[in-house]
Amino acid sequence: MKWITFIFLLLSKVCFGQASGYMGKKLLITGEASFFNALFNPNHTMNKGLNTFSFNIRATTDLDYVVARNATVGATFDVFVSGMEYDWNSPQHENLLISDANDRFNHARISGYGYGLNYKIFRNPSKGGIAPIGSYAKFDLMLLDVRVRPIDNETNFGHAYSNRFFTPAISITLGRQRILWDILVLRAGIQVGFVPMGISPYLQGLGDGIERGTQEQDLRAHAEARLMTYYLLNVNFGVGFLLPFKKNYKSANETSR
Amino acid sequence: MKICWQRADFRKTLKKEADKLGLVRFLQTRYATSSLSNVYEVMRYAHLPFDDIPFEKTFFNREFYQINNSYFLNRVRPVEAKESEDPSQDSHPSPTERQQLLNRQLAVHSERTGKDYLISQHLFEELRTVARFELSELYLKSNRPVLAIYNSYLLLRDYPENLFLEKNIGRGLYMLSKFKTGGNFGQVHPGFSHIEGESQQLFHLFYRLKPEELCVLATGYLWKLRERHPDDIDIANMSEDILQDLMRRFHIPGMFSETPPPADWLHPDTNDVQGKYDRLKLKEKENPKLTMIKYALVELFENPRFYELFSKLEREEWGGQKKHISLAALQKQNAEEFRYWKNHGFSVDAKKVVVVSPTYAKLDLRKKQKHKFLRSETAKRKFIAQINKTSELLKLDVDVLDQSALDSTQANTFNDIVFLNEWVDQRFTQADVGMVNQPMQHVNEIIEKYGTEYYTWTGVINYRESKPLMYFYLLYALIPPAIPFAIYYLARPNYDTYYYCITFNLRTGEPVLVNFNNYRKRDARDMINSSVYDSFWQMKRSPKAKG
Repeated sequence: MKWITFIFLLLSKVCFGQASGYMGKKLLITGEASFFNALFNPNHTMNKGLNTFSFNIRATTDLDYVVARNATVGATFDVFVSGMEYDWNSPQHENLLISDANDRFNHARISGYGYGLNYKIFRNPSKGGIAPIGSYAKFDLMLLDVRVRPIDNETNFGHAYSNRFFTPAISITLGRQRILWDILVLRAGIQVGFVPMGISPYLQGLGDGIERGTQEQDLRAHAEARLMTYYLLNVNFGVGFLLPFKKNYKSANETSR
Repeated sequence: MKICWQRADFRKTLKKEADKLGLVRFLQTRYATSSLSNVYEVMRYAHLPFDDIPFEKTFFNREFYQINNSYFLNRVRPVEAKESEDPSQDSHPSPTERQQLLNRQLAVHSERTGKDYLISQHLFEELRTVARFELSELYLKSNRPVLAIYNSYLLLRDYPENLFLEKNIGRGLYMLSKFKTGGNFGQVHPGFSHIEGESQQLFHLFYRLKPEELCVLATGYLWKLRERHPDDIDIANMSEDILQDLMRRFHIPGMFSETPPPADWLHPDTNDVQGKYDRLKLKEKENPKLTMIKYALVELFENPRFYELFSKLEREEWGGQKKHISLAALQKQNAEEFRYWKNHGFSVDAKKVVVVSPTYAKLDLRKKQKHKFLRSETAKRKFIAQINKTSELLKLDVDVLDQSALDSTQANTFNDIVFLNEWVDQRFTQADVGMVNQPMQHVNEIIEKYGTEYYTWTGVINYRESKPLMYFYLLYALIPPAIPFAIYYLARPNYDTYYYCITFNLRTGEPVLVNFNNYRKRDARDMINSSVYDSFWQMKRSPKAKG
């Protein structure tokens, strides 16, 4: 309850702040592609390694609203997809296994959506620019809706079984945003993210097999660990628009008082 | 260095050629040639005031205020003609050289019987007088109050009790006192030892006067002037402000006598006094503190306004009503205000704003011709267009006074621009020491004419400069993984952009909005547009309670 009160207090202070926006426009929608080389774990095509030129990719949609000369708040919607190696057949845990996922299904495809809130703080307005342009640090708090399905890597055939779960994620992005022709938003940044639940499986040793009672629990631990590396480091580029395209400036500026 | 000398030689040749052609043209007129050689005398002594008359040591004295004789020099430094010690290094030929050249040319022409004045001697003298009066004002504008006082003093001999001249002396004293009290006296007083001529006396006087003595002198002069010109707003403002300075910075109870001194206060007769201590006591009366401070304001206490303000300020300072704010509390308040400003900016609540002389300068510091004039002009047009667009978006009434967009029918607007630019130039110097806003009459006229108190000076300076390559070599040598960054910075042009926007309330003379942005990058349109919009948005925005 204390935390909820604190967040409401923070939001009320931020939302009723005063901001000019870009030429009076304060709302912007951006589509963003995040990617990084799949070095140690497979991507959605189950390829990995520097030589294969395989990338993990993610699509993000951001809706940002300028709340201060150096800050925006917004909503984030992520669509992610990746892969992992997973041994669905562990003889010593036979009684715990999911049926029909035989030897051929030694991978899993992870996909899903992320729903989040973000707070973007821009560099000192007198040095970097006035929100929404300039260099920024973006803090994202997300809830990932994850789906995991066994995959036969050779035939690219997906098993009928699917597991779904939710897990939180946080990320920090350092980037720069520009606006061209008073309408088009361009953005580039480097993102560092964490899936907190994905840290403990690493600490407990993932290679030891099923240790959590059921394969669902083990699968989830593996998927969270994979998402942890998936979100860990990304480069992103985005394109968007200032909204509305044509607006009543008077109303926008009157409401900002 | 050699090139510099060659250029200087070339300039000298051009100047001599111009003199030659000038004389040819002059000889085509009906003017007499007899006074031609005086032209170079004027040049030789151009660094001095228009005359060199001894300054009367009792000029500032009043009945109960006497400047001690020790504040004056016994003799002043003689005037020397301005000739360079090494003419070969000058960019112009010396006046002597030019005069010799003129004499040689005149020698080949027969003596002419022309006239000294073709149009009117009276008109010439009238214009000369106007120019001499203007000098007083120009000296003040260029932060040379001592010369302004001396110039006005010279003119007062021919035009006694002239309000303009007396006011200029008052303004000069006020400026000197404010700067001496403010601790940056060097900005308005260059020292006295190198000054030539009779004006040195004044330079020496103001150099020697202690801050409190100068403040008392200015207070006395301005309040006496106010008695004679009670309707002058500038004199009223200056006199009240200088009294506040005196009371807040220097005054302690009992410092000033409200009753006249005894009859023998100025020259005590010690001849008939036998005892050593009695004689010393009497001699104490010769202390400058008595003649220049203790009784300095006696006659002003008869002025009800002076008495009322003096008593009020004394009560505020010494009546136990003064609130003391601790340094820590002040620092905390400043930090909070800075944080609020950083996040939210200013709130001026202006309905109309006048933008004066918007500027856009694009420079390339790597090139010989640093200023890119054509690009600057184009960028300035876009900048003004952006200001106009912003005013439309914000529904804020904005007038742009741009001298480069005026034609010959807009002389009044041009004069307004000149006045406003001079005014802001002075405010930048004067606001530091808390000088009052002036000239109020002209200021009020401008406010009336344009219908607003808010005047903005804004512009962009963008330049490209060479990169300090050494750093990149070091980075490369020390941290191999940093090579990609080094390549990026090597490939990227080194730009710097400054955007400034300062809005003054012309009536109060105080800045109400100061935006100063420094982007270490190119002057991209989005940066400039955003900065312009943000500044004007802050001008329009109403103040909001801090929460």
